[in-house]
Amino acid sequence: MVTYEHYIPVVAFIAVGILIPGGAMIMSWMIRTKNPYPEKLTTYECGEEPIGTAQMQFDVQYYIYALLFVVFDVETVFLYPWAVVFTDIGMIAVVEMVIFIAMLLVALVYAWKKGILEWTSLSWREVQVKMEPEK
Amino acid sequence: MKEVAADLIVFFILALVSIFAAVMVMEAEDIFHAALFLALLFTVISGVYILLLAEFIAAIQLLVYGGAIVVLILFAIVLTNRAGKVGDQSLKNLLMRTAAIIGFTALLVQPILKTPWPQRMIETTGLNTYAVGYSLFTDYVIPFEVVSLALLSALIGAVYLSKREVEA
Repeated sequence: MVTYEHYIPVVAFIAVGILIPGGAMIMSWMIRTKNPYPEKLTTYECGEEPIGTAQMQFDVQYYIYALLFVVFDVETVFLYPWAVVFTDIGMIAVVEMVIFIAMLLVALVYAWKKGILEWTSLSWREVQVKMEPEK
Repeated sequence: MKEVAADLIVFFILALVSIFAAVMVMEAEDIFHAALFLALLFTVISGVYILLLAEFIAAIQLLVYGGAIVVLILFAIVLTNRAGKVGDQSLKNLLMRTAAIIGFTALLVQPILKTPWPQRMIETTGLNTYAVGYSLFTDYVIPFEVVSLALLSALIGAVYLSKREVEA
């Protein structure tokens, strides 16, 4: 029979995670001076004047990183039950998982070979050209 | 008895936060904010699974829904040009939304009333992850390996599609 006692550290972790940043923000809100002016309220962009809005169209290059993340995220889901049982099942479980990971490595190598992981600034320049009329 | 009360308190906190998040998903003016509230909703639902002592489902809920699906939705949003676009706030839209909510709730009333809900919690062995893992790596090895093939083909398809757009 399992009880919730195992989750007390998790609850404590969440509570500390909320209290410390929340407390820091409330403290600084209480003691800081407030002097807003239009220039100060502009979005900080590495000290440059921000161009356009943050709601522009991002490059499709970012999406491939998201998809790579999703694929390896799903792999992690299978690693949990594997980690629990592999001492009992033995070598067969290890071989099964090696085959599984090898399949995904093929995917990673394919993406690498296709140059997907290389960052091209060419399409980024196209985005900048698209934004020009808004200025 | 004390423990049961603690369950109830945690459940009500989770229920309130999840209802708030679900309403905000629909009511947020910026679709990006709606997606972030969806992330909050998925995270809170994983807390409900932990309350049911289904820790494996909770982990999957966090990883797949709170992680992967939210990331895909967020990226899909930033890949579209949505500058200056806000949700339709017209009266017609509001009426349609209300009608949809009432209709969907009406559909749920019958199943909720007819289901014989267990009066007390079913005791679990606490070996959910072990049971899932054991059958996955003994009886269901072939489906498990097929999943890796499905992931492989998904990634190759994604590489193919995005590569073409980058070059275009």
